Amino acid sequence: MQARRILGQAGSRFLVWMAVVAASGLLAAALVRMAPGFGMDERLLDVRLSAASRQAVAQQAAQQDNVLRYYFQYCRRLARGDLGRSTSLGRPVRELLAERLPVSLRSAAAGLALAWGLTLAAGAGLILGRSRRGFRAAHGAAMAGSGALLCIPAAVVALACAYADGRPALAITAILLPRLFRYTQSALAAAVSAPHVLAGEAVGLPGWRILWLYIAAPAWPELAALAGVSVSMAAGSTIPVEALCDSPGIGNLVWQAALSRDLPVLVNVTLLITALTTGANLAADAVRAARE
Amino acid sequence: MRIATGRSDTGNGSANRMPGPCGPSGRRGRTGPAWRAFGVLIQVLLAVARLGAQQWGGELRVCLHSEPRNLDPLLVEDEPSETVRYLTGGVLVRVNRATQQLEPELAISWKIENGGRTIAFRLREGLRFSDGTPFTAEDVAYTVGRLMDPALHSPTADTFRSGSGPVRTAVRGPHEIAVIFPEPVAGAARLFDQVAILSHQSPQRPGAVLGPFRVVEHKPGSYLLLGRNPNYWKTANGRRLPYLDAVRLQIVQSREMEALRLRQGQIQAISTLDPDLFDEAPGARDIGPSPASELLWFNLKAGGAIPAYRRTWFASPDFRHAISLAIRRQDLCRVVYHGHASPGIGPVSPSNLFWFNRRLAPRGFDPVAARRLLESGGFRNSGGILLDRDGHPVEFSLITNSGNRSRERMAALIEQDLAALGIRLHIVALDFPSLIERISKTFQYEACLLGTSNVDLDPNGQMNVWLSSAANHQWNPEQPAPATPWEAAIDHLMRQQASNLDEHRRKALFDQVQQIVWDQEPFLYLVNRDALVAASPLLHNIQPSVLEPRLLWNVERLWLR
Amino acid sequence: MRRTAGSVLLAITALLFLSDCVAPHPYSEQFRETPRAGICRRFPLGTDDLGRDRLSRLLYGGRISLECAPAAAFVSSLLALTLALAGGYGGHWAGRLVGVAADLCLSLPWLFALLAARAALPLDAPAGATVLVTFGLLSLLGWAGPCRMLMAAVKVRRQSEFALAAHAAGCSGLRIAVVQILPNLIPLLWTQFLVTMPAFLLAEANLGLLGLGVPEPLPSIGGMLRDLADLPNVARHPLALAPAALLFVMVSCCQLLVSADEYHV
Repeated sequence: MQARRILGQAGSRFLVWMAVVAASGLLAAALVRMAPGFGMDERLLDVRLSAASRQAVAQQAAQQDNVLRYYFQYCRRLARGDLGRSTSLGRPVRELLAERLPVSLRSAAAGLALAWGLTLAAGAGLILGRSRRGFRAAHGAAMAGSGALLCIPAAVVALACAYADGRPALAITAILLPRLFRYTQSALAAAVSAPHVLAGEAVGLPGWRILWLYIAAPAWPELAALAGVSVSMAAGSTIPVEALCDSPGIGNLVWQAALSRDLPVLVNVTLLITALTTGANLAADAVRAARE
Repeated sequence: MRIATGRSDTGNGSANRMPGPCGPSGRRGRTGPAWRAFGVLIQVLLAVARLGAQQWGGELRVCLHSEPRNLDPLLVEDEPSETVRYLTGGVLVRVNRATQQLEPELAISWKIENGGRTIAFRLREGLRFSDGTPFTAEDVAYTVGRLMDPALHSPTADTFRSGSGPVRTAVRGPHEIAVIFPEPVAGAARLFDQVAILSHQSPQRPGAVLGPFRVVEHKPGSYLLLGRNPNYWKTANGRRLPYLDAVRLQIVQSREMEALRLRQGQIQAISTLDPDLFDEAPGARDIGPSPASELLWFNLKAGGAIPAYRRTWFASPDFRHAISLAIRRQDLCRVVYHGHASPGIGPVSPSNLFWFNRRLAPRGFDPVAARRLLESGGFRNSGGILLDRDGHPVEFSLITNSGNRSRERMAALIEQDLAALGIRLHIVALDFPSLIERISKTFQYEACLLGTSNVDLDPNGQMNVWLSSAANHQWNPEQPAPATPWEAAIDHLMRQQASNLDEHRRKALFDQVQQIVWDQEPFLYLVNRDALVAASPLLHNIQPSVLEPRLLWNVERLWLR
Repeated sequence: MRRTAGSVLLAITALLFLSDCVAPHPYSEQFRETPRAGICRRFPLGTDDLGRDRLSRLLYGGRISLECAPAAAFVSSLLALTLALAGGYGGHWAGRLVGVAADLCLSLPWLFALLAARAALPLDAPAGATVLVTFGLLSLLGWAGPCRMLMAAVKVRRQSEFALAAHAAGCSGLRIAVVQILPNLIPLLWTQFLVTMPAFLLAEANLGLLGLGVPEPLPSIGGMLRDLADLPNVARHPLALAPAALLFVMVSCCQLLVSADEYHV
């Protein structure tokens, strides 16, 4: 009975997930279609082109004018594993994604892991050392450091990383770190001042035990939610970072596609990002539900 | 001319090019034997002088600013693809980028026949493609046939279409071929500078090439590796050129990153350097005015979404002259381009040695004359605001493409210059597709600031800009009949020069076109950008040219220490 | 500590709002003979690429940016809070609905909506209108990430003893949400505000690349931060860092104001 209920829940979640992903594709297509400059090819300014060639260029864009029809056809092709053809690069989107996805996933995953590792280490260090001398200075320094990182444009962080011959993952870390750090600090701060922590300290429990059982456990749901959201933050920061670091990943591709209103690429990437974001949040929810 | 898309600061992105460089020497039928002998002698002397100096081997690394859109040489439309085609493709004739003269390449001679309708090539014998297949007239016939396929919509092919009817070829022997046009084409031979010959029998088509290099590896978004063509026909000291073993084209969009890589020694040359980066780039050189210019124009399209009274201002040549006279072009050059630009003159840059009309001079800064012109048109200044005859305050919007710092800065300078006349300018930066939509589809704009780049030296390449019926006649495109007498005169002159085979007569006609454009100012030419390049001291034999591909045009003779 | 931070913040705000009187030059006046000047008596922070006084631009730009960005951050925080409370207290389906909306909001390419909104304005629309549209849309789109975290926090607080006690005492859901839960979310909200505000300023700078930022010749902190992208230039003219420094001081002061002695129970 229990198993059936869990299966039923999982099934309904999966259906919702599918619906959200499908809707995001349609909405993305509609947004791109609505944007000014849709279907405007740079070739239209090529003064060599004859009237016939210009017409051919214009016709190519006109095929995607009706978003609903385009999306319906896209879904039909998707069922066969065909992701369409990029209008700006003239290559199958499937090939483009296969070339670039691994690069981006690697940088985003490395950036996320590093940012989370540093955030948790700094958070734990600050909590464990909160009664020691020099805590104020350390806390102030951490806050000031994260504040400074927040005030510098992602573009500059990315360029600085590139100048230092760093990888995009480092730039992603530098962008995520202050945000994660500040949110975890505020989530943990509430837990730190709770009466049971004081009681635990009064009884003389070891610091790590208090940290794990008395502070981390109550803050857990917020941290899980932050983990889910951090995936979309990473996805969001990968785009400027890759575009600026000239890393041959999805971010770079998306930026170019956005500048040339490349509908097939944008719809596919939106589907991918939605699937990833909702997937991560679903996982965070599921973990939280399981713990509760 | 191409309207430079200029996503980057240096201006020209990937669109709007005219067919490649063309020499003024379309008339030269056959290179005379005396000249040939003289050329050979000079080459031998130079080779002897340099004997032992060159170093063979090595990998040259340079950057492309975006992913090449198409590696098929017949479908090339953007700058990166053009560079790849230049480095890999073998062509029948080549415009020498230094002298701007047409030189024999795969064809040892050519001859214009049949009143300009036919051009007959005599091909070099004993050449082979990179995969070993022999080069014959059949290959040229195959290439031209494929190029002219109407379904291909190749921009290169469109430059060949002089009139209605197909372009045909007649193979006259294993190494002789004639290309037959439906109507006479002035300067037809120069068009072949853009046509990389394909092998008609190679299984590796279009991988089999006749140029100095061939594509060995392509990692999209990252780099393109070109290796030497083992069968390249040019030689030096008895060895097959090129000196270099490989050219690695790294795809780097940011100009700052490109300059950084040059400083770090990761690349050896930059062909288009940003003026902002000139002082920091090692080995940077200003080689004088390039064919690229920045210009401003007013929307004169009937039925465009402009209030009628504003259209009346824009349509008045006096108003345009007044605006032009109020702009301090010297400041644009000095502040925005750090002195690496000169005031713009007209449709042809002074870098175009043959076609530039030397009687024209840049319009100077003359606010008194500007005010006088405006007053004569009924405008008056009231409390620092310029009002027209009916009391409308003179203000308009100027669109330009966003992300191009030079253009945004120029717009800000112009805004202050016009404010001195009492004119209010609204600057609107738009991303490129939005801008294209406004200037070529909806016509919802008042004035536009963009750049053009006359890649093609021959005026025939500008046909679609000057004919009033053409779609790229930017200020008022696709007119059913010329809207003004001077546009009718330009139409007439352009058609006349296109059908004339006498180069000096053509020059005289095109000089008149330049004069009319200077007098009427449908385009306000602001500045001519200088060609800025930078090369590492390790790279030898460079002869920078203002024409693309500036540093790489003699790639087969470049060598690295 | 708090007092210092408060007074610094107050002083900066006063300076920005008095920019009309304090600024040495009009923000758009070009001194073309002295582009990229260093510190001197005439130009206390030097001049930019067009010879415009950097201090004056910073003061005017600071005012524009610091009127808009905090307002936008406030709106988006408020939106996030409202939706989080609705999602946390409105039952299972409401929670799911808010979650789905947040996911969609996070993953759709809203850039195109911004482009469309800008295109809908006339070209000679006043600069203020463009700025309002940009920051308005940013504030409407920035709620999604924090909302998920706030919702998680609401769910935790809902199970806490004080909420259960209030429930047992017969308080309505709305009253518990507003009176019991809301005050507990303030620290998280502040964090969200402090993270979002600079993020919006920077977003404005990045949107400037697409022509969606504050239009020339109006200055903005974001637009001035764009100059940092030319790093070698920054090394030679470190004064270009002034807007980043101003932003940093302001964010740090805000941070100190709320959390100076958070851990010291």
